[in-house]
Amino acid sequence: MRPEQFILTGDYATVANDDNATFTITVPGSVVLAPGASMQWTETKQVGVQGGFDILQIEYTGSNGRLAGPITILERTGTAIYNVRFQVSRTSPTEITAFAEIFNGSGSTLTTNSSPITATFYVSTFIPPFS
Amino acid sequence: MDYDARNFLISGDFPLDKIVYLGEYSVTLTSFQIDFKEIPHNLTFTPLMMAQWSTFSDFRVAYGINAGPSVGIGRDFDTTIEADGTNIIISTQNRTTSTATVYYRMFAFMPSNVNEVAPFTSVEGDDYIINSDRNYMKLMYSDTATLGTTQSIVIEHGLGYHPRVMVWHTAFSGAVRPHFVNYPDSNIELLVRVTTATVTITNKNQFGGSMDVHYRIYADEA
Repeated sequence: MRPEQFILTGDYATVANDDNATFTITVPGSVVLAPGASMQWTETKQVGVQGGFDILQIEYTGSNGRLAGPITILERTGTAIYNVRFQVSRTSPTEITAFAEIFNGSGSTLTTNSSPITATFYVSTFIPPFS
Repeated sequence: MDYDARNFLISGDFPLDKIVYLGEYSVTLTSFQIDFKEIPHNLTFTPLMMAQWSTFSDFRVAYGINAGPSVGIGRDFDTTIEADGTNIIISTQNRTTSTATVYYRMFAFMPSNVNEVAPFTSVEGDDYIINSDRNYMKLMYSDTATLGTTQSIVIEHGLGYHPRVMVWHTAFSGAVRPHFVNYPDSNIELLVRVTTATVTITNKNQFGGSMDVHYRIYADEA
């Protein structure tokens, strides 16, 4: 019988949700980046425990709901097309950091779109099933 | 539902997540070395893998699969995990200029379209203690779907809030991997959109053909 036909059983490990946090980052408009340069915007909070797993949903300006998944990459057009990358990482035993990053992969100076993007990160953390 | 499941740590109306595979793996790689590892999972089905990785054995700093410290458009490390009917397949590339050890911790669920005997993963009597300081994921819907190119499936949950969602999909190789990236502006990969009424999963893989997806939607709020 498949395990989830049981509501509760002591025979299988599980993941326990121990903490939740919301992060908000605004990526300003009209950022100027030299060729090959990158810029990051971050917010760090105490959430979860060392080794904890997390799942993420991201809502950003114009997203029409939230996107579920560890990474979201937006495509925007400034003086060239570029990506805005959102993700979270455990950056210390007690902290998670939310990141927004733009990288100028073109061979000329990039000025990003004049519209800022505000992204809200909804993070749920889980006790890992490892000792 | 006549009550709000969010207010309960567990609920008799919804099963809890049951982990059917637990594993760890580590590999030491020189600069720009690539490792491709197949680990037999010894299950009779293709498990739905979840994993994280770290360059610290105690996971004091840790990342999701394919996430991690960035170097421009790429990353310091490329990490992927997927599974087929026989193996868990892990690929790792060290893109830094130094030798590094990458540690993985991974676990898996049984897909909803499988009804097989699974080995127990709680090997000690005290592994599974309901702790009132924690919340336990209440599985509301789990199912599979085959999505043609640009096709979507809309699951109406009607909860009035954004539920937690996990999604896996078949990769180009035919193996099943966790959904790790949304490209909302491009026809790449899979897009998983959550509202207070629906979960919409779209195969945006314009040139890749159909894709099998597995999803788990919880009564817990994201």
